[in-house]
Amino acid sequence: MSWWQRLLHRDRTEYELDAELRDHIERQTTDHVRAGLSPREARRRARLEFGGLDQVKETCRDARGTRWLEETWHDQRFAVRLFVRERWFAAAAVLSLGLGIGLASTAFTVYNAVLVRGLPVDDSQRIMALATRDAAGGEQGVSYLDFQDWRAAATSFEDIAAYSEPAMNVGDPDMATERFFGARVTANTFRLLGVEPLLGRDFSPADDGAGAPAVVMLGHGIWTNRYGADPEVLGRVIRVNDAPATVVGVMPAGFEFPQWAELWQPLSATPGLADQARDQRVFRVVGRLADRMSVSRAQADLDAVAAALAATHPDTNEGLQPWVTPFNEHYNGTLRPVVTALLAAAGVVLLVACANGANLLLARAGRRSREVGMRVSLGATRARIVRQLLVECLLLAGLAGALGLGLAVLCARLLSMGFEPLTAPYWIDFGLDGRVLAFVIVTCLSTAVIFGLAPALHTSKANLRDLVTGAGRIGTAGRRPHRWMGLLVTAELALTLVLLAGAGLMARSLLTVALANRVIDTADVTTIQLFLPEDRYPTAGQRVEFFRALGEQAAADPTIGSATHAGAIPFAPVAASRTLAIDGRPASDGDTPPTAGVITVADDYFEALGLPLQRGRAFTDRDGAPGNDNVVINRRLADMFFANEDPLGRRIRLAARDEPDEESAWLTIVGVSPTVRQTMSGPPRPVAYVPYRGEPIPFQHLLVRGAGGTDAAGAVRRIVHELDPNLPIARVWTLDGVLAQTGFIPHLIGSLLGAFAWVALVLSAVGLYGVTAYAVTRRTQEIGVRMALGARAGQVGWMVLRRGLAQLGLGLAIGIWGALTVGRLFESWLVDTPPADPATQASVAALLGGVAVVACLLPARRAARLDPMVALRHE
Amino acid sequence: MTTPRTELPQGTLDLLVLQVAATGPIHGYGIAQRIKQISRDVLQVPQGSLYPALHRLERRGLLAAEWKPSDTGRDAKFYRLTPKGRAQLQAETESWARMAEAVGLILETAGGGAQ
Repeated sequence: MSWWQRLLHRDRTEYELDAELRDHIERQTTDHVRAGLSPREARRRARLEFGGLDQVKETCRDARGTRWLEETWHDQRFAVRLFVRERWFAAAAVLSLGLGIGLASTAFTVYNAVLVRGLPVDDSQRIMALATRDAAGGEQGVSYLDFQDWRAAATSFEDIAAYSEPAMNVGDPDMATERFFGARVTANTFRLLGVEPLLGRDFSPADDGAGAPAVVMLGHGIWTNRYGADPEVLGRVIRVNDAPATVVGVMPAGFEFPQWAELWQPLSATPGLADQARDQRVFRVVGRLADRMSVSRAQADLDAVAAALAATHPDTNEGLQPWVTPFNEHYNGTLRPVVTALLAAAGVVLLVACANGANLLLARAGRRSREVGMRVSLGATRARIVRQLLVECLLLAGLAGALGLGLAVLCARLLSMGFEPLTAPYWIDFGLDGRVLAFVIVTCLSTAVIFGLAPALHTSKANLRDLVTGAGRIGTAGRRPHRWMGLLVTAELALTLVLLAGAGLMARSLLTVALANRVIDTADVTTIQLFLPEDRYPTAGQRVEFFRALGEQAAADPTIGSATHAGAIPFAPVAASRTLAIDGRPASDGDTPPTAGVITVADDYFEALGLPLQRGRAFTDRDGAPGNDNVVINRRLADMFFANEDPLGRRIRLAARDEPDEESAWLTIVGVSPTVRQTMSGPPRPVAYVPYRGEPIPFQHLLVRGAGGTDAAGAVRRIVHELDPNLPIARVWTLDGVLAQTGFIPHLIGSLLGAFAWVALVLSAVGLYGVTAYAVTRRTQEIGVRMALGARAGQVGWMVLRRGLAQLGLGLAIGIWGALTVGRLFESWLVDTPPADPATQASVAALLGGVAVVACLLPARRAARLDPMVALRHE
Repeated sequence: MTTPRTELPQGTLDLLVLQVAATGPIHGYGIAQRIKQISRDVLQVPQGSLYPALHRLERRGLLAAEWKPSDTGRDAKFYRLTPKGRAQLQAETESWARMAEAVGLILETAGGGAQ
């Protein structure tokens, strides 16, 4: 090899090392020649004196300290060559780990979006939600007077701001009136958050005073959709809730504080703000913590402020506790247990995937031991071997991580697309950020260590003696890897059963809800919100008359099958909750009185929705009139309070909170309706339906069914417009859409858990198959001997199967115990499904058992069909 | 070979290499020869550890190396002391002297007692 070839093929350092050492030998040779030796003898002597050239080079490389990197690079290249050769092994390991890492990253993306990210503003962890708790512990808002006192006295906050979230009707001379989610905020709100308007100016304190000219700021959505992104909109006067207001600014895209607001007005736009009493706790408060201020110190500070207020205003503030929580926690905190549970479930899948990867490596360990023996005999240390094997694992984990990241990106996109609007605040974002990437990288590295270390340590134990005596052969490899593999598979099966049970319970719960929701045929029912403004519909009679006329016109329209209205639509939470008193039953002192939801409905509500009453009768046009104070209760209320008696004819009283019971009238129960769920978690609520005539509130939902499958929304819009051209129509939903929205979170949990469980099932089935198949390969010679000695095919098959079944049995036993323990954790998300539901447990155990038996049967059959002659010669 | 040869005590090779390199740029073979000459053939530098020592000292920044034409006509790798190396040499020489003195002292007193 000439010098330039050497130069081309090695790096510069290697070349110089070689040249330096050769130079030494040359000089020594020259000196020996000078001393009188023949050139040949001189060279021989010089080489002899120098010693092993390659050994010196090795020590020099060590001394240079770059050796570690160089060798790792060599290991990488070796690993790549190895994986190309063993592509099936590599593909199985990468796929298995990639699925695990992908699901874990997806779960972390959800966790990150819901619980970590927070508001998209600077220092978002310092933004706090401030609320109050009354003496009974119920959460309350903050009154305007309290807010002002808090703001003046609380030093632990840079600033605090108050807001409310009313709906806003926006009207323009040349455009239809539309209804939007709005917010009224104190003028300092956006500055507190650190968000500046895209156009125009922020609210100023002058805008927020009594008698200030009305102003409004638009969200990016309204600005683009309603005003065509026209910058000239600044200074324009639009009608907000029928009052003129000047547009002073436009907020940037993606800003919908506090939850999903589309436009903002100063808090001073609240009607009657100046006259609000100290116990009208109708506002929410947000604050930014001052520098180096902790939540607990802020809480203590606010406690002191509240105590002072309670002393000066005992009649209103006695027992009122302020309550500081991080803003994100305040809105998303209820999701914490379930999101954490999902992350844990994904961790379980990742463990199953790691166990699979470890098993694949262990199965390969037998084959690798000969190569390792060769390396050891050439002088490699154990640490060096372990490192090489770990580098292989890192490479596998890296590939798996790339796959997992791709999977996570895909899942995050699916989540974002499938996310129902208005089920979560605006800042929930399933995009990838630095935290998710860091999570993926850490997961990859730790995965490589978890699944790679044990096999690497094991494989590296192969020694020279094994190589020389041929003990590296598959047939006689030690029993240790097999024992490890059996344990890992048992653990996989147990973890999978836990996941399957969780998914099964969730599925059962969702099915229960879905079946319960069938009480109403939701197909082609459209719901529309209507709000009759007080200034044009001041009397109850006018409101009743409006809806009577609407019903009459709808009945005359051929495209409308049925039209009715109610204060709350089915499947959506009931806003009005009242304390329930029953005639003839004394209210027990001390206990919190029972409550029931109250829904005002039109007379034809039950008929129009196809809800046949179980007892009694529906409303007629006399119910709700004076002297006919009647009520229909749902089955749930009847079961809860009239378990062993006939509710018909009994009288109940429904009093608004803080209202003396005596002021509300006794209502006579005339009918019992089927239970319609208003929430998708927990038990259904007791609900009382009262006729609209009795409580003509301004806010109603129309529920319209098209005739013969037609879309009735258009016809309803036209009828409403004819009745009152200034009445805005908002939030047109189908009832199916409402169902999808309220059921979204349980469905999300259910489907993610389901996906996790299926992946775990496949992984552990493949794992069990792999281990059993490996056992057959390992014992091929033994099987040959047994067969030659007269063992029958069935006996051989059973021998293989028995081992798999033992692992399965143990795995199932541990798994069922684990499932019972874990089931209790998400009990609150289960509807009418006990966490230890025997049917669910039995069916998932049967499913896992069936799949596992098939996974064992395949290799067992192969063992039984072995040709003894071939098997004996197998190596 | 009239003089008995002595193995270098552990850790002294670095010190000797630094001392020799302090006289000016010198290649590896030169260093080995110089140590042998100065010690009047008493100290034999094992080739197997000279070069790793040179590379280690170079990596620690005590020696700097440069390829230069040499008397043989080929390029050779010449080592010279860096300022950091000079400081290190100073420190190690002092500590060696202290140790030699102390060891000598012990040998004298202890030896006297044994006799």
